[in-house]
Amino acid sequence: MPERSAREFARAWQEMLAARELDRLSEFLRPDCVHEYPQSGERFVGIANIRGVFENYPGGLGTQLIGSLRVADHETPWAMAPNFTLIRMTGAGDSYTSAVRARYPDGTDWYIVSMIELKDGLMSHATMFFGPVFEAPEWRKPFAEAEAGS
Amino acid sequence: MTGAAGETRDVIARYVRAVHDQDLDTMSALQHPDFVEDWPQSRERIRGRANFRKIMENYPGGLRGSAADVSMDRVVGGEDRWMVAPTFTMVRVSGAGDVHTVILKLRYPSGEEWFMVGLYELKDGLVYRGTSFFAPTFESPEWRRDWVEPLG
Repeated sequence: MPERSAREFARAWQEMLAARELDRLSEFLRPDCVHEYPQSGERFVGIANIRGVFENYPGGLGTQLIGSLRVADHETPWAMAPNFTLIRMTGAGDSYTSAVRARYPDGTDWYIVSMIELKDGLMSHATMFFGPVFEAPEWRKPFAEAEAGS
Repeated sequence: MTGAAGETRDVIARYVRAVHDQDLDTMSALQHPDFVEDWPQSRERIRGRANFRKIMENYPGGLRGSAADVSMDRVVGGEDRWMVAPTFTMVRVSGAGDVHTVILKLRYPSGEEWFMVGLYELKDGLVYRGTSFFAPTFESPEWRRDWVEPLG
């Protein structure tokens, strides 16, 4: 396995997920990889368990192309993937944070924010958060503006 | 911690502590004059210190007194990447250079507990860009219990 940069890894990972090529999980995950979902207090240990979750998502693992999305005129690197829309990546070396916007089979849009650690070019740990899209509250509209470009 | 990375992390730590204390003066002092905060979920962009402060001041129910009583042990990570603040619980900081990610668990006046994930960029030693995501706690779904174990 050639050494990949975090950015290369992130792009390839999202592309693999988008293509549902779960037989390739071992190209991305260490055998003892841990995925954690703090919101629900869940931990998935090992490729088989992580795959079990991916394969059994009710309605299928979501995500459709929603188009490019800019968060701001940040100077930090951005990357895109065909189905997930990777909107922002920060980090260097063996860890990074990505934020992707995804559409689930029920039609709802969510942001998936992942803090990912790599070891020897493979994912060793991921902490993932899921945040729903929601309407901007009326009370703070005087102080905010609608984001451009999304 | 020494050098620029340590200084960056120190700014982030002070900023998050100010957020948790709702110390609006310190927050403003640590924000760059061109500070912009984005909340992508609601497609809101808050431009400038004054607007950000107004939102903090006008939050329904008030943010002061928000509390998180959950141990940071709920999320694992390298020990050198963790910091704790008394009210908001900062569970994790990672990053390099002038970009950092923080995870906070916070309790709103309604009693609901949410995670906030903030991506912060610094410029000139100040918080220049923030992108924050908000994620509610929820019950572990039944369908995936075969593959899961509870977090600490």
